Amino acid sequence: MMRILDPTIRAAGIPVTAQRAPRPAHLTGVTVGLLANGKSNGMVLLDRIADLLRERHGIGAVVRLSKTNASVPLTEEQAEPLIKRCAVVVTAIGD
Amino acid sequence: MSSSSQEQVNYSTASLADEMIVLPGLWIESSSLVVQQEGADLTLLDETVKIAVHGGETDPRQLLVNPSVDLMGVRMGVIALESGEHLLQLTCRTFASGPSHRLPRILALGRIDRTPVDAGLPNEGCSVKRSRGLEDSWNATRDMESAAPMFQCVRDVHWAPAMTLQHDGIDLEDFWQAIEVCYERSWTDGLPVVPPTEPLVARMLAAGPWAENDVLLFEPARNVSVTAYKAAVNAVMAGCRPEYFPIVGAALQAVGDPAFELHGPATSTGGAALMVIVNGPVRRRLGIHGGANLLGPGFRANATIGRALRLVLLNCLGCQPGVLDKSTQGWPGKYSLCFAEDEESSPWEPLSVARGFKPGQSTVTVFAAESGHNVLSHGTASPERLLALFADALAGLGSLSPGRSVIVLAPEHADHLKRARWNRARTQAWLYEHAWRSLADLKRTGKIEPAFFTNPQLLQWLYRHADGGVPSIAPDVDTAERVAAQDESVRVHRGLGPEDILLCVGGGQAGGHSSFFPSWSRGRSVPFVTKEVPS
Repeated sequence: MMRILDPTIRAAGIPVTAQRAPRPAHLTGVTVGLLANGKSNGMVLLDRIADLLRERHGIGAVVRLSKTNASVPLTEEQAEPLIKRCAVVVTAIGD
Repeated sequence: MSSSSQEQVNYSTASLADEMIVLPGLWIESSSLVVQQEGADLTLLDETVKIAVHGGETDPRQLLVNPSVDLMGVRMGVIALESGEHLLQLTCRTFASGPSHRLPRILALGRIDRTPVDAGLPNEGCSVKRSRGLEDSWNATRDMESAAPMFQCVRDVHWAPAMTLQHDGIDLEDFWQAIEVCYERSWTDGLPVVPPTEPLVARMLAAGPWAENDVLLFEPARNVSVTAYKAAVNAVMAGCRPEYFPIVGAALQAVGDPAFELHGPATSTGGAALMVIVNGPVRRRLGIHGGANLLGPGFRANATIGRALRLVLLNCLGCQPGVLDKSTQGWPGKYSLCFAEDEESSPWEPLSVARGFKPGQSTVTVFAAESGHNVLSHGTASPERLLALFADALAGLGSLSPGRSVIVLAPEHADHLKRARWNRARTQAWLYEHAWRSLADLKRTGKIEPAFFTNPQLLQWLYRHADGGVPSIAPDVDTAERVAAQDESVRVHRGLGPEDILLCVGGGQAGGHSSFFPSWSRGRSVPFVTKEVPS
């Protein structure tokens, strides 16, 4: 018999206390955030999605935000416009 | 199916608490998560399944990008369910897309008694009692099989596992089974690994200056910390000798430097390798090779130190090929790309000294490298003629970018520069000055993407050496491919300056074969990072 150890990492150290934001009952008039991950064409895709959401669901204002670097997460400060203004955020990668 | 209804099985929290699915009236608990739910709903189930299936990953994207996970053994500790409906949901979520061979061979169903166990492990433990309720749940599963076709996939679940979970390890019959289990769990890079037994891991860990819970690398995109303990497990698997561990750890610290932005090169379609260049006395002490065939096979330290990094990416950062490693092609350097600088053949100070460290200090320098390009010259000793070959390789349109470059000079080529008394700075400057293509060439070959014109950094790169800099009326999408007369005279250099060209020396004493490694990414990419190897 022999015993081998697990080389993988699971939940250790990962904070998982975040709660899901409440889901809006509808999108009519709702401010929607668009977060492109920083690749070339993410915002192209998101703008089209916003158009469709406007047509189909009558969304309200749109807040557009592009990460400047696809390799690093948004900081809290960078995310502030989304957090403060938006009930829904759509994110996309487009390369 | 066989079971012992009151059999006590010990699990560590690391493997169990993160992986339990606990429904009405029970708890899920891990080091950082406590959920108590009186009436479980599908939202909770959804979240808990993610935790179970993906080993605690809470990033909702994980559910989409991960393939079905091998739930055997540590991947799935215990599932406690009180109704068939939840089991149905769980089964659909867990097995819907997976091949049959990845179905669980150990799927425990039953109640969980929360009893802390002081196992002396990094994470607190708990114990699991296989109780009567477990049997009931199992029977409920069997009853549902006929009604729900997807339950066929759990038909083979049995209570006679080939292995038993203990702590965060697996008990196995023998060495060969251990190797095969590592394959089954996708814990390898394709080559067999050394089974990471506790004594080997303990020896590895003891050879470094770190406590087992010391974090060597934090990856913010995944919010994952790689501890010295996990690094040691992977270093054993890679085949490292314990004395290599300080280098493995230093290299992990280097790629974990926030400036290195590891997430990009680790996951991108670019398929970069993590190059590790070793300087200082540690090279000789540990036999890290910088001579003939230094980039090829034959040297344990070179082969296993770089491999340890790759296994950490694979096992700790989720960089499974096609999952979070999206390399379009990758390249063999991704198995291992570690070598020593041949300081003794260098005309200059060691790379580590050029990077600000003292002579006699041992260091690792890391770089996110695309595949290398051979630079062959046996016909000239003239620095200008020789370096023109390198400049031509650097200016290759296929990899032309504002990124950095690594050149590993063959001793023979280095000797030509030494005899001509070209110093490092002069060589770098000459190479930068001559490694360029015209903006017209870039346009003709589609290197200019429309998005470049809305990216100030890329515009600055393109027009860095143009008279007047970036035009006042910046080119737009329509002009991305249209070659204007003035584009012929706009020189676009590789990198942003001479310091972007890292020069080191290595290889056999015979032969005029050097190599150039372009950086990952069509953008600026990540910097060189150098860290001291702890003694």
